[in-house]
Amino acid sequence: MSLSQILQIAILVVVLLYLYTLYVALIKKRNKLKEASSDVDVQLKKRYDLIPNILNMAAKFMAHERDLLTQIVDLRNEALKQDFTTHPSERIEIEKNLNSKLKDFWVNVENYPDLKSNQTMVQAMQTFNETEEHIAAARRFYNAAVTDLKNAVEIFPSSFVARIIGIKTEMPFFKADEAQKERIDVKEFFK
Amino acid sequence: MTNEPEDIYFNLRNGFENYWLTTLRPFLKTKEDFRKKYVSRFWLLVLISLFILPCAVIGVYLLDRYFSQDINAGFLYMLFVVVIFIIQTPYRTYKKKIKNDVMENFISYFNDFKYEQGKGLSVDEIADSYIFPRADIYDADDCFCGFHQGVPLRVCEQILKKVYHTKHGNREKTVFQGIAIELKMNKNFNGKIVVLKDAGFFNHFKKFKDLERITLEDPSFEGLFEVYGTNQVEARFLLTPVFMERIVKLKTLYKGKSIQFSFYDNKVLIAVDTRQNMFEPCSFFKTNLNKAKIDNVFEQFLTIFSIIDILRLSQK
Repeated sequence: MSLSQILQIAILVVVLLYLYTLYVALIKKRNKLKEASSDVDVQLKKRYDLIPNILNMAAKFMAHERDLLTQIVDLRNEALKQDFTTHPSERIEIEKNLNSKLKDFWVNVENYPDLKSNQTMVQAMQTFNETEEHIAAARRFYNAAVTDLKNAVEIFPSSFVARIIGIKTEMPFFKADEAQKERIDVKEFFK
Repeated sequence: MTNEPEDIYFNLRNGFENYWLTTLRPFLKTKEDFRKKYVSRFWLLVLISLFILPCAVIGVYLLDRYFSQDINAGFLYMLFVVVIFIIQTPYRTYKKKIKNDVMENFISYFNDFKYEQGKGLSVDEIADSYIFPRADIYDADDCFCGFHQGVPLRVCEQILKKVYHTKHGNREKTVFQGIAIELKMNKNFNGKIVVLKDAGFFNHFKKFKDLERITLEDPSFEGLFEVYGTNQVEARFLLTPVFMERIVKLKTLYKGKSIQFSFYDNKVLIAVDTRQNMFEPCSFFKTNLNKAKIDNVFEQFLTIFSIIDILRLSQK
C-alpha cells in the first residue's frame, strides 16, 4: 500500500468520524427536544390537575361567572386530548386561550373577598403559582432545545447530515409574548 | 420603619453607633489591661529570644571550632522555628481568649444570632456542594448562624489546603480561604444545581457524574458562570431571568473575588474566596477602643446580609 493510499484512507476515516460526531450531536439534540417537550407536558398536566379543584372551590362563590368557568373547563379538557409532543402547535394555541381565560378568572376572583380570603383557596393559589413557575421553566428549556436543534439543522455542515438522516425542526417556539406576558402571576391578584 | 434594604442598613448602622458606645466600648475597655499584659509578655519573649539566638549561634560556632562537634545548620533552623513559635504564644493565647468574648458581645447586636469559633462546614458538606476546590486539610475559623429578614443563614469561615509531596517534604498550599454562606431558599426543589465561575477553555474538562451542563439564555450570566444540574427544568425554575440578573449583581458586589453557588436541599450554599482572614475585631498591638476594626467586621456582616436582599430570598 502506497503512502498516498494510506493518506487517502486516513482522510476518509477522519471525515467519517467527523460526520459520525455530527450525527451523534444531532440525535442528542433531537432527544433533548423530546425530553423538553415531555417536560412541558408534565408541567402542564400538573396545572390541569389543579384547575378542577380551584374551579370547584370558586364555583361556590362565583355563581355569576359560570360561563367563564365552563370555558376554562372546556379548554382544559381539549388540552388533555392532545399530546404536546405530537401536536405542539395546537397545544400552544389552546394554552394561549387557556392562559387568557385563567387570567380573567384571577381578575374576577378579586371581586369575591370571601373566596380570596378562603384558606384553602390561598393554598391552592400558592400551589398554582408554583406550578406556573415550573411551566415557565419548562417552556424555557423547550425553547432552548428548539433553538439548539434548529441551529444544528440549518447551519452547515450539520445541516448536510440532518438532510441525509431526515431530521427536521417542525417544533414551534413558545413565543415570548405567550411564554412571558401571558404567564399568570396569581400573586399580583392577591396583594 | 419600612422593610426596604437601604432603610434596614441605615437603621442597623445608626443602632450600631449607639451599641458601640453603650455596650461594646465599655466591654473592650475592661479588656485593655488584659491586652497590655499579653503585649508585655510578647516583648519580654522577643527580648529573651534576642539574647538566646545570638548565644546559640556563637555556641554552635565555638563547639564546631574548638571541640570539633559536628552540629549542622538544621539545628539552628529548628531552634529558630521553636523560638518564633514561642514568641507568638502570647498573641495566639490573647486572640483565642478575647475573640470569643468580643464576638459574642458583637453578635448579640443582631438578634437571634449565635457565634461559634472553629465550627465550620463538614467535609461531606464541602465535597457534596462541588463549589470548593479539592483539599486535604479542612480548617474552620469563625461560624455564625441566625436570621436576617426571616431567612435562616449560616456563615462559616473556611480555609482549605492541599498537601503536595515533594522531595523536600510536604508542602501546603491554600486553595480556598473565604466564607461559606448557607441560606434557606424561598422555593422548594429536589435536585441539585451548581453555579460555577466560568473557566473559559477549561470548562470542557469539567465533568460531574450526576450533573449535566445547563445552558441558560442570559448572555451576561453565561459569560460569568457555568451551570450544572440534575434537572434542566428545575435549574430554570430556580435560575429565572430575574434571579440570574441578581446573581450577576451579586458578582459585582464581590468584584474580583471568586463566587460560586450550590443549590440543594432547599438551600443555597455560596462560596466566596476572599483570600483574607475575615471577622477579626481585635488588635493586639493597638488599642481596641478605636472603632475601625469592629466597624470593618460590622460592614462584612452587612455585605453578607445584602446577599439575601439582592437575591430577595425573604420574598416568597
